[in-house]
Amino acid sequence: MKSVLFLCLFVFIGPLFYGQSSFSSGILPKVRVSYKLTDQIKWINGIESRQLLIDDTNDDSFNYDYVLTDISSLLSFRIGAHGVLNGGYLLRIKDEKLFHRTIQQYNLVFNYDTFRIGHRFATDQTFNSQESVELRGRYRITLEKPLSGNNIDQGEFYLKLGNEYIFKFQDDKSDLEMRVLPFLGYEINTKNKIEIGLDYRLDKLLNSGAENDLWLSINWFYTIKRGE
Amino acid sequence: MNSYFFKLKILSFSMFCFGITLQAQTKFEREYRIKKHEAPKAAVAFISKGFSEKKVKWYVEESQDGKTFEAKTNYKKNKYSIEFDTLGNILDIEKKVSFQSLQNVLKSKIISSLNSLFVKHKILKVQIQWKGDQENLLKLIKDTKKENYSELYEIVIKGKKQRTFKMYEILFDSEGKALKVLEIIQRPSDNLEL
Repeated sequence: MKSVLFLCLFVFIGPLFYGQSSFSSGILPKVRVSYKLTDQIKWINGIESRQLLIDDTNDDSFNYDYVLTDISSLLSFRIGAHGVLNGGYLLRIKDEKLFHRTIQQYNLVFNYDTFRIGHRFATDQTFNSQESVELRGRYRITLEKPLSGNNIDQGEFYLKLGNEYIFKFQDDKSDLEMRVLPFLGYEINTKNKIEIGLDYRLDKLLNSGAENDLWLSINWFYTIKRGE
Repeated sequence: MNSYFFKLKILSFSMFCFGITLQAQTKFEREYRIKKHEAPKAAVAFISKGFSEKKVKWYVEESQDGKTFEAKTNYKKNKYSIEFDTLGNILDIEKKVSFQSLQNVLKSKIISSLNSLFVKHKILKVQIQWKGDQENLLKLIKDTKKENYSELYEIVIKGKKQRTFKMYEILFDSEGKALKVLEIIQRPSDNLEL
């Protein structure tokens, strides 16, 4: 367990020492509503918005700026005891332009005695009338651990730590982004959970002039069962 | 009792000699950590007598069936869970073991039983469950005497009955007969997927 903690520290703190050529920060609220159609199938809709508060590339670094809104809809199929296959569409509204993204994800979630780990393998394709298509391949690992006892029960807090790598390809150019996601979660009841935490993004790792983004992220996950 | 997964709703069906009876059951459970001094004194005394390990974690488990206390510790390279009532009377001891460590005859019977229940299966976790009076259980822990106790086996598997694999918790008796089969319904994992 100590080696796991050391690895977590390395992964989470390491990026902070990376050369900072630009930095921006803001808030990132997100709502996900899952509608359970059958034991195996869910329909998941989400909305997410980015509001910029700090941008050191501007003369006035501290300034509120609305960035974008994402609206997504995914169909989710449970495969076996651990696997989940998701596929869907995301509409991005940014600078009065529309971006269309198709999404494919394969998730594996493993339960252990005192924690659970999720692996997400994903690809997506983003289309827009003025730019060529952007292709991305993503991998994310997430650890979820209760802060009291061995299980996350109603009315209990939990810790969620994520680390994601995103490979991007557009206009014959490729790049890599890394994300670090430490969250504090609260299980309100079996249908609702909220999470607050940081979404740190280190972009343009393969090119000069890395970009650092730090978002204060607030997530609400709501699950509805058919017939309820 | 078992804290392997988050059991919010559990579909239960019991297997007895008359066949399989399907019955739906909603189970509420809440488990949280407590300090040693919050546990019943009799329970703390039992742990001191039976286990030399200093590191013991104490939990409270609340459900519609009532409130129990649970101590978790390691002893002789095995993980133990010891459950008590609110007065500190011992209810059972669970010892985590590998499936391979069970007797060959019992292993064969359990496998045979699983084969009759599932098209495919994989054993993920095995716990031996002991029930008996305090003195006999203490002797059992110390490996000094084995008498007047009951032994059951709680096994967590990944099993396929029809089209898809699901997680199950199955209770076997010492003859390898399945007494109870619970489907483990896991907490929504949207927050790990999206």
